[in-house]
Parts: sequence; structure tokens; C-alpha cells
Amino acid sequence: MEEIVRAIEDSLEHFYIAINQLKKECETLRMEVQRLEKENKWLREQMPGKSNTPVAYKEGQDALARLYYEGFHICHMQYGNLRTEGDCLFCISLLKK
Amino acid sequence: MNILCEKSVLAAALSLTQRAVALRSPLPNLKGILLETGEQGLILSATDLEFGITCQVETKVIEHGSVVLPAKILTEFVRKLPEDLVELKTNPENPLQVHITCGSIKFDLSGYAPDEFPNLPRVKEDAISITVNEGLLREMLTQTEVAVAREDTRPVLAGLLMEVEKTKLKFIATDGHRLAFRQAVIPETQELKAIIPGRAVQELIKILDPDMGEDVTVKVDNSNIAFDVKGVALSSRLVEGKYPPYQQIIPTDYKTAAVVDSAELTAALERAEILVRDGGNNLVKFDVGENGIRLSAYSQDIGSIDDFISGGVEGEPVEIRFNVRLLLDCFRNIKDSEVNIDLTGEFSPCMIRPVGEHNYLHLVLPVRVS
Ligand SMILES: [Zn+2]
Repeated sequence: MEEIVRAIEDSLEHFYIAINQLKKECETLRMEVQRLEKENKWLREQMPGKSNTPVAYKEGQDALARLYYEGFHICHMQYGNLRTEGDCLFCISLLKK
Repeated sequence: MNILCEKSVLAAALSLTQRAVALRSPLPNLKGILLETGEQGLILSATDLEFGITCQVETKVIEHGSVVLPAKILTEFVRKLPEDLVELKTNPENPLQVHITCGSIKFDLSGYAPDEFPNLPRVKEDAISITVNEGLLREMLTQTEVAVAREDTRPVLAGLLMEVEKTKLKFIATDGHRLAFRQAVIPETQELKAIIPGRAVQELIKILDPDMGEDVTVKVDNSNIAFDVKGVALSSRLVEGKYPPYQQIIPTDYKTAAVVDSAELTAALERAEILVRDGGNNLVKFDVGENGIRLSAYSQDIGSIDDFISGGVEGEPVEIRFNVRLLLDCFRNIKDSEVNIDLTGEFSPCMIRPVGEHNYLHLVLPVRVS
């Protein structure tokens, strides 16, 4: 019986920790969405005209490069996330193109 | 159940199997090891639901049966027994209680019902199967595992990518700052891509013997992978998701290429590490010039170090900084005597390959100082 109570207590504790983590994640994601919306708007303003012309492509690349040097990922996997640990192999390979 | 087994054999099997036990699980069953008898003797299994180990040992079976026993206590207790025959016998009145006897030592241990023990991750019947030499597999895994991401914000990068293309078996890992790639030739088989969790790779490396020529059978289906070697089976769920296209980050040209002795460079990096790990910056500077690499490191409170590794250099001279740990993770796993180091300034990854070897490469991003 004691074993079962302890097991239930243990799983409740795990459950609370998990809920707290989820709450934190939700908050981070909400902030992230807001930031991305802002950034998207800014990017749209930076890239006038049709985006399939070579000039616009170049401007697009420049905007990406700027975003990268401002400290954000521009790679597919982590686009828009803050680069917290220096350079990113995936972003750099995109800048080289 | 009633079996007789040498203490050393039982202790070894227990300590191996208990690596898969979920010690923190709220479910008592998961904190246990399933012991069951088979044709050959005793079969021990443990799982944390993501990952599992099954180990077969030859024992004398007097009476067939099965039971789940608490892993930690059983392993520690058997380890402390004298070198003698150990008898494990379930109580006929209560099959969840086991009498363990060794010489004059008697230990009664309560267990759990075997039918409540969870299934280990298992590959399907039609899984793709390949065979690799044990020593080679261990080498390939050790050379790439170092680059597996330690945090799990990007779950796919916390795994090791395994690819089979025609006659090539490839392992790839990257944490976004470095990438390790290793391949070997195997008999032609079906193509496959699978991401193995980092933890399973680490456990597998511990089990594999670097000097053994045994064959390891690897079986993969859509969601699970299983490795079979010398009576030990390790199985794991695969990481779900798509691995990012890694080929595009491997540079195709360079501005400076150096060839140096790998043992000499490794020793120099290890000396530099002593200084910079305590200073906290972990940085080493390479001045790649005509006759080799001048390596220097500096720590404000401790001092500085200066070293020269002679070698052949082609292309522009370059000054570049690295995190010494990332370089050591690569160099410590290179057995070849000479290495190629290709550089293209501080915005491009440095490419390290054993000379003349196209089976292993390691990329490390330099550290920019702004
Ligand atoms: Zn990135």
C-alpha cells in the first residue's frame, strides 16, 4: 500500500513538473509568434516588388544576411530563433549560396 | 523457476541489462529486470519503454519460469556475492518471491508479476537487416557520436543519422556547430534512413568491444532499431522527424589547406586545453603559415601558451580561432597518422580529414571575434 501511495505521489510530482514545463514552453512560443509576426512584417517592408526577379532575390539574401548578423537563425530548422551559441553551420551554408 | 549460475556470469549479465532500467520511473515494474528461462538458459530483459536490453546467459535450468526482480538491489547484491554457484529459486507457495542462495548466504527477494512487464522496443519481421563488424561499428559510432547535440530543443539533432545507400553505410551527427561523418562499405542492401537516439548510441558503444571481430546484426524498420551481438540485444525506438540536409553544409572548396601530423597536433591541443579550460574561454588560435600551424592560447589569470606544428601548407596564410574542445572531440578519434585541415576564413567550417581517406570527415565552425 505504502509503495502504491509513494508511486502515485511520484507520478503526481512528475505530472506537475511536466505541466510547469508545458506552461513555460507555451509562454515562450507565444512570445516567439509575436516576434515572428513583427519580423515578418519588417521583412515584407524590406522586399518590395516581385520576389522572383534577380534583384529582389539579392535583396532577399541581404535581408537574410542582416537577420543572421542581428543574431537570429535563418536556417530551416530554427528560423527566427535567437542564436545563443555563436554561429550556425546550417545558416552559414545558406549565406554562402 | 529454478536456475544455477556462476556468480561472475550472473553479475556481468545483470550489470549490462540494468543499463536499460528506468530507475526514476513511478512504475515499479520498470525499475525491475525480467528474468525468464529459455532453451539456452537465462534471459534477462530491461526497458525504459524507449530503449531496451536483452541478455542471454548459459545457465543450468532446473525448472522453467519467470519473474521480475528489482534491478538495483539484485545487481548490487549479486555483485557482492563470493565467486561461487548462485541458485535462484521461486517460492512454490508464492511465485513472486525468490530465494537466492550462494554457499551459506540466503536472500529472499520479493518481485513483480512477469506478465505485467512491458514489451521492449521490437523491430517488425520485415525489417531491413545488415551485418557489420563489431570493431568497425564501434569505431564509426565513436567518431560520430561526439557531434550529437546534447540538448533536445531540436530532437532530430539529439540523434545519430544512419543511412544506407547501395553499398555504403553512413553515420552523421551535427549539433549545428560541428558535423561528423563516417562511412564504410557493406554488402549491397535496401536503402534506409534512420535517426538513432543519442542515448542508445552511447550504450551501444559501451557494449561493443573495439578489438572484437564478431558480427553485429542491425535490423531497422520504420520506428525501431535493434542491434544483436554475442547474445546481447539492444533495441530502441527511432527519433521521429526529418534530419536536415547535411550535404549542403559540407564545403566544396577552400582557401588554405594544411597537412600535419595528427598525434602532434592532438598533443598540442591537449596542452592548450589545460590552460583555457580553467580560464573559461576554451579558445585556441591557429596561425596557418607557409611551414605549418602556430598554435597559441591565452588565459587572462593563468598565462599563455605558444606551440608550432610543422606541416605542408597550400594557399593563403590565415589566422583563425576554435573552441579547443570541439577540435579535440574530433582529433582524439582519429587513428591515422596525418590529417588534412582545409580552411576558408572565419565564416566557413574548417574541414578535417585523415590524409587520403574519404570515409571520415569532421567540420568545425571557427569562433569569430568581433
Ligand atoms: Zn541556423
